[in-house]
Amino acid sequence: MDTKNPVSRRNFLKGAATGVCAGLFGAMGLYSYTSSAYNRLPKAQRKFEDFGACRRVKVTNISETSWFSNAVLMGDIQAAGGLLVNQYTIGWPPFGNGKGIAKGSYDSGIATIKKMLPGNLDEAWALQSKLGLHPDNPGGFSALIEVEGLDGTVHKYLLDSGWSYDWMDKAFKREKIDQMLAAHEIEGLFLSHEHWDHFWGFPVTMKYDNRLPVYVHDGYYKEGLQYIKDSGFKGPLDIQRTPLKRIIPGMVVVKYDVPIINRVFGETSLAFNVKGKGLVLVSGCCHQGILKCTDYVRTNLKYDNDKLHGIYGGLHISPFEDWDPKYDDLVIALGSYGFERIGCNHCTGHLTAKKFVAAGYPVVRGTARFRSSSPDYLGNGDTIEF
Amino acid sequence: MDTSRILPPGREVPTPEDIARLPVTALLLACLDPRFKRCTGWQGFARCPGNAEAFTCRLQTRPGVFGCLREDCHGDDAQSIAAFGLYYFPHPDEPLLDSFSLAAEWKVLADDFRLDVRNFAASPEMCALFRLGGVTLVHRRRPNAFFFRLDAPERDVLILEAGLHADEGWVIPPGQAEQDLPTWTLARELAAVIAGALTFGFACPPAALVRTSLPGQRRLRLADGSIRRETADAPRLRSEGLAWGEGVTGREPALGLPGAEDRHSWMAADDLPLDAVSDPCWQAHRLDRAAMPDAPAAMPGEKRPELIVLTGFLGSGKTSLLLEIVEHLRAHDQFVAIIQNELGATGVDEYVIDGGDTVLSLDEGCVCCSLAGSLASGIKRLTERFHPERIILETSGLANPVNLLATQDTWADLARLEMVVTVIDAVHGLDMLATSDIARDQVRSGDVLVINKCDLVDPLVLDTLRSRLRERNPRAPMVTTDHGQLHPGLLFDAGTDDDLPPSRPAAPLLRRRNHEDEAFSAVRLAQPTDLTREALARWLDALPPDVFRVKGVLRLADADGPQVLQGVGQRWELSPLGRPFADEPFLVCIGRNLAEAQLSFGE
Repeated sequence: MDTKNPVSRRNFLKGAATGVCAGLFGAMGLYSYTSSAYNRLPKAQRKFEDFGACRRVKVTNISETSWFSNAVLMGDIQAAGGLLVNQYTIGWPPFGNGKGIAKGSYDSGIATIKKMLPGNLDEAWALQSKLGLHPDNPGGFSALIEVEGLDGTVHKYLLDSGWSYDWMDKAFKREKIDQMLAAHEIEGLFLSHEHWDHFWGFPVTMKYDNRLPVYVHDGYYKEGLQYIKDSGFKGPLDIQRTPLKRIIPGMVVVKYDVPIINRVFGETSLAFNVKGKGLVLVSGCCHQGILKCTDYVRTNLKYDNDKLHGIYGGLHISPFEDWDPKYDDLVIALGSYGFERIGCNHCTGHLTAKKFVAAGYPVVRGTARFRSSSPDYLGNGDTIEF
Repeated sequence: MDTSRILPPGREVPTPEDIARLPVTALLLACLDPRFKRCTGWQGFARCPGNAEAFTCRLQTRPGVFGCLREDCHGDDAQSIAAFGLYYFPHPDEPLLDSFSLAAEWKVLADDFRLDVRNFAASPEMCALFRLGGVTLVHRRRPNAFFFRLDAPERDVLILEAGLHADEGWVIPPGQAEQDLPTWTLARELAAVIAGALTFGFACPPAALVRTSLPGQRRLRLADGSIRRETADAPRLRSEGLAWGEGVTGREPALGLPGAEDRHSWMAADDLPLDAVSDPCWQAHRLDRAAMPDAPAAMPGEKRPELIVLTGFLGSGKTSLLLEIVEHLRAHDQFVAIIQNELGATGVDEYVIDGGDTVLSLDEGCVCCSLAGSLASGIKRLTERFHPERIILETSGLANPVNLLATQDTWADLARLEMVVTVIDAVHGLDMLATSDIARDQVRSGDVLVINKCDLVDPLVLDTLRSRLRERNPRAPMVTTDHGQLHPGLLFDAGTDDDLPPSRPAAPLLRRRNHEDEAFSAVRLAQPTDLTREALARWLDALPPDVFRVKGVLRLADADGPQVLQGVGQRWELSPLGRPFADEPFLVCIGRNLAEAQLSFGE
């Protein structure tokens, strides 16, 4: 045997590859697995849970401008100690205590304004403008969701309640949410996650209707649950503990258990099955990423035409940076799902939204009014119908 | 032990599903802290598409990709158990590939392998060829504790009794191994990072470490193709278990292999075995004091923001790249402030950059000495106001970065130079190189060269341009873009260039790890006693061009206290470490084809 001129493995393999067919390798009996190869791989199957259908979903953007200067916000977070700092301690209104950056707490903050909630928000915010940091920066995220059932009834819900009492109250009035709440037309408030820009404006909803059902989830910390009480809430509080919660036919709340920046946990999104069209996703921030979001609904839910029809909200691709930068690309990922109507704003990114449009995706553009700055966003006051 | 950050705070009793998700949740939380990423060499993550609960990730220690797949999850009143498989998918160019089976190697060399890796969970074949070992995660309700155990063979060996013969000769001589994979070492690298993330999430280190082993398996493929397995004392099946929580005795069955006779335990107060001391799980709860294996210059106490200098001629596309970087970072909750050296001429999209708040314009035109002065005050202003982790300086198209870099001392204490990115217009690049000194200097001083607008030139022109650029700058990776769009991640992971090998060399300070990539290596040198600044400078100047980076912590005869040295190409800086340093001073040179002899201090 001649071991003096060994053939390199790679050359051999290249030869095998250019051989007759892909099966050559197996045919040569060369397949060998690691001894650690695991036999029982879980069978991943789609569950097709039927949650009914609705006729139409209309989203009105009450506000998507969560804050007005990213530099100021991020600067505060950095100064306070970074992305792991508890949001209630940063010192922003409405939990400012006058002590400055990173010296706040829920208790010391709420003590200054508790008596004014929720009836006297102007005074509360005016006081917090003196005690809290950068009071002109907060805006907030909130949307009005109108769902028309197959029987023709229209149900109204709110998704999130923004941040600044001042800004949100004005936005509510602009879209007549205040009147709808006072007339008890709104059947529920879904609070997607405990973040300052989606949740701290809760008293604004309470001001007009403090008995409507409120839906949170088991990711809320004790400060958040306390704030709901301290804001004068007197209605039924639903704390979602399971991944899926049905609301009305064609509407479910999907819960993702993920840790989010600044000591927040978990986020919900709303999923709808629009008859004849398919699945519609409405998100606050989609912190868990649209990849996980769409994977989850595809695996678990049954929706018309098996089609992902529409998406609205702040779109993140993934909470992690991809190890292959070429894939860390929301523009490519979004295209691959084949959504037929896209309304994006908030944390999506103006440049990214512009690229969606440039790529020819079916983005419903906005009017860039009321301090929303890009027409590629579905901005403040804009609507989208699915 | 605090579980409120990695388990839903409103959940009284964690479910098996919660436990099965714990590794990813813990990693997500830990990666919000850049120190964790540095401590573990974290290079990114991707979830496998579809419904399998699996992910891939990269670590700085290896050029390939690691994988983790959930295999089981169940529980009862007393406990929840989740089991995972750990995988490693080698890079086509790494020598370790030859240690895998031929079938695995064949798969790696196929064109679509990279895609297969991202989607490995959907392919039983991929799983079978690249699996290293398994991890079990157990949550015990009362007393509340978590057990994390890695099981893997020391090595996975398959001998070919009859060998493998091709027409030209023996591919594998008879009796030699077709596969001889260091499965324990590889699996442990990923397991260590996950354990580190758990420590981070729980905010406390493990209460116990247990090691057990059992006789392993030797596999022999016989001449007829069948595989005979025999129990053998070597290679052994190894196991390492960690426990966090209450009431941990170290004797819990979950911590060791059933039936193992040898069992070594270390409890909280004991001295850990030396090879475990620097594992992330013993450090991630106090990252301020953690060892950062790869970045001596970015020590835990480092407060200076990173400075990225963006240079290139007017019209080369610097601003587009700038906007991409800003938005990319913003999407990952990271913030970068910008200093521009051109008054409004570049048309920065103020919506992306916040209406001018974070953009500081330096109105000096492009006279570089005064730029340095105002750069220092610009950095100071930004840092005081916004505390950015990163600052990008977009220089004027006619600025010569060499002059700017020469005046580093005026601002080196305010910002840490991370890299110079040079953007080149493919359309005019050759002309510029031929006619302009400044353009040549811009190329020469780049750490990464971005060739923009490649879609507008002929491939032959592009090739010529690349060669000319390579002549000017032998070291910098080159990245090409079409349509002016570049994913900023490629800059921070600039090992994706065709010319240079894929692995990012890691300085092996505290890790004991075989760096098997031959092209790039790190050589660690002891610092001679009585080294002066001048002697250091002379040594640095005399370094061969193959040395890409130099890092170290030094004690100089003419400086107070330990100094951190950081050098890239021809540039280097010394800065005080700022805290006590008990170890031996050292230098690490990273580059290609390094011979220790060439690098040592001759005098």
